[in-house]
Amino acid sequence: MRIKIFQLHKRASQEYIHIQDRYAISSTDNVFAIADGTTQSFKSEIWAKMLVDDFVKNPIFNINFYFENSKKLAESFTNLEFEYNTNFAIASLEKKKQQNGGTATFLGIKFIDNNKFNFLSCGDSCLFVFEDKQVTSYPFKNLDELDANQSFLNTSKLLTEIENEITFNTNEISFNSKSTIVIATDAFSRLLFKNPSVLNAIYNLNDFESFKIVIEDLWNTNKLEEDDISIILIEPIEETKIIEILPPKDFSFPKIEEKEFIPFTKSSQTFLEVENMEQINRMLEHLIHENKFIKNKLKLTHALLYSVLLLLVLNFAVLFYVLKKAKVDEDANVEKIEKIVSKSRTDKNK
Amino acid sequence: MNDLRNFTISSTNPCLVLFLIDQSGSMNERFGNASHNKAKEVANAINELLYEVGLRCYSGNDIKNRFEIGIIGYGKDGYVKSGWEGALTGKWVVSIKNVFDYPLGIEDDKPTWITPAAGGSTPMKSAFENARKLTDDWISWGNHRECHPPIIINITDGVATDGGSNFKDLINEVNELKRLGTNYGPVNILNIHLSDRVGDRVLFPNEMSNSYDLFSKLLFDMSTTLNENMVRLATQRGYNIVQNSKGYIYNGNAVDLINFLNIGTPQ
Repeated sequence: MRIKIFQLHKRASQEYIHIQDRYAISSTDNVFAIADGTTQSFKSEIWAKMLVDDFVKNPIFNINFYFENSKKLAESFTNLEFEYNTNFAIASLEKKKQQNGGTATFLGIKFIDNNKFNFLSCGDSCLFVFEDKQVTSYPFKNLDELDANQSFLNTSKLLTEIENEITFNTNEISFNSKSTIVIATDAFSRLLFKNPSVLNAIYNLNDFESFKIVIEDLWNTNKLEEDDISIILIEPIEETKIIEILPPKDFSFPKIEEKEFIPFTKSSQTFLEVENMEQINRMLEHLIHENKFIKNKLKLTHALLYSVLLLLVLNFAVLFYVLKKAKVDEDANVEKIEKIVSKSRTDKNK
Repeated sequence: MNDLRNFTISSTNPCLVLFLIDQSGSMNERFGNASHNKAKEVANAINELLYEVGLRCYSGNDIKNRFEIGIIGYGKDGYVKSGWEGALTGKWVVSIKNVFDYPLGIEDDKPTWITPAAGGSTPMKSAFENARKLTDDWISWGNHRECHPPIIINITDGVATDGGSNFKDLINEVNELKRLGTNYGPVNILNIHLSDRVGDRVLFPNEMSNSYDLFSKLLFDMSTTLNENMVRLATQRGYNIVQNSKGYIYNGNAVDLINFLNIGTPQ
C-alpha cells in the first residue's frame, strides 16, 4: 500500500504540538484511524490520541463491543490528573470543561483483503473512495448530511448514556485496485464534498512546504475552514510506502499580533463629551455645594460682625452714660463742697 | 456578501458583542416572580453570558480572543458610560482574554464582572447612538470587515426617556445602526425585555401577539431577524427556531444565543 499522511494545524494554534487531530496507523495490519479532538472540549487532543492508539492495536467493528471498549477508555481519561490554572476565573472554566469531558470524532478502517475494508466511525470525520471519476463517501452521502451530524464521542456521555444514544456507523466497503481511499477530518471533508477535484492538488504533493502553500491558499480564499487538517490517502498497490507530510519541528505560524481596539477620535470625542459632561456636572455640583457653604459661612461672619459692632456701640453708650453721669455727679459734688465751704466761711466771719 | 456557513469565529476573526444595559431607577423593581430586582437580573445575565463566552473560547490551556466585549450602561445618574467595573473601569471594548484576567468577584464558584446598578432616567437613544459609533469604529479597525457581524444586545425594562415623539428618534438611531455590517452581513440587534409582569419566557419569536404592550412591540421591531446561519445552527442544535425569528427575548437571557454561533468545533 502507498500511504500518504498530511497534517497541518490551524494558524491560530501556531505550533504543531497544539494540533487537536490525531492519527495512528498499523502498516503491518493495514489499520488506519483518525480522530478530531473538538476545540472547545477538555483536553480533547489527549482523548483523540487514546482513541486512535487503542484502535490500531485493537480494531473493533462491532458497535456494541466498540461502545463498551470506548467506555473503558473514557474511564481511563477521567482518571487522568490535570493541574488547574492559578487564575480562579480560568480555573472555573477548566473545572466546568472537565465536568463536560473530552470530545472527539473518530473514523477507523481495516483492510480485510485486496478489495474490501471495514470502517467504523462516530462524528463528522469522513471516508471517500475515488474510483476513476466516481467518488463515494461514507458515512455521509453529501454535505447536508455531514452538517446535520450531531454525533461524537464524549467521555462524560459515554459514561452516562446508553449505547443507542450515540450514533456509530459501520460497513464493509469494496474497492478496486485503482481506487484511492481518503480519510479526513471534517474541514477537508467539507471541501471534498464541495469540490472533489481538489484532491488532485493534494495527491502529487511530496513535501510539507507545497502542502502548506495549497492549504493556506484554500484558507485565504475561504474555500476551506480554518481548522486542523488531517488527511490520509491510501492506494492499494503491492509496494508498501508511507510518506508523512507533517510540519517540521522548527515550523510555526507567525504569532498573531493582537492589537487592542481603541475607538477612533470621532467616537472618542463623543464618549469623552459624555464623560466631560459628567465631569462638568460634577464640578458644577461641587461648586454649588461650596458656594452654599461659603454663603453660610459669610452669613455667620456677618452676624458675628454685627454682634460685635452692636456690642461696641452698646459699650460706647454705656461708657458715655457713665461718664456723663459721673460728670454731673462731680459738678453736683463740687457745688455742694463750694456751698459747704461758703457756709463755713460765713459762719466763721460771724 | 460572504457566506457565514464557511465562517468560524476565531482569534484571527473575532466577533464584537456589545451590551447596552439599562441602569435606570425602574431597574430597582422586582423581576417577575423572582426575589431579586431587575438590576440584579441584568448583572446575572451578563455575568452568565460572559462565562459562557469564556467556555467557548477556552482551548488548549488558554483563552483565545475569539470575542471582544463592550458594555455600555445607560441611566445610572442619567448618563451613558462604560459599564465595566474594577480594573476594567472606563474601557469600552475588552478582549475575552482580558475579561477573564480581570474578574471583579466570585459568586457560586463562578467569576463575576458586573454588579447591579439602578438610578436615573432611561437614555436608550443615546446608548444606541454610542453603540452605533463604537460599532462603526470597530468594523473599520484592522481586519474586522472580515469578521462575524457585531452582535448588539440591549437589556432593558421599559420606556426610553429620550426616544422623542412616538420614539421616532430612537427608531431612527436603531435603523442607522442596522445599516452597519461586515462582509458577512449586517449587525445583529437583540433586545432582552425584562418585566415585572409574571409571564412565560419568550425566546426569538417571529411575531408578537396583541397581549404585549406597545414597548414590547417596539423592542420586537427594533430587533433584527436572526440570520440564516444562526437559524441553521439553532435548528441543528435542537432549538425550535423558525425562519424570520427575531432577536427579541421576553423575560429571558441570551445565553442560548451562543449556541447559534459557529465558534471553533461544536462540542
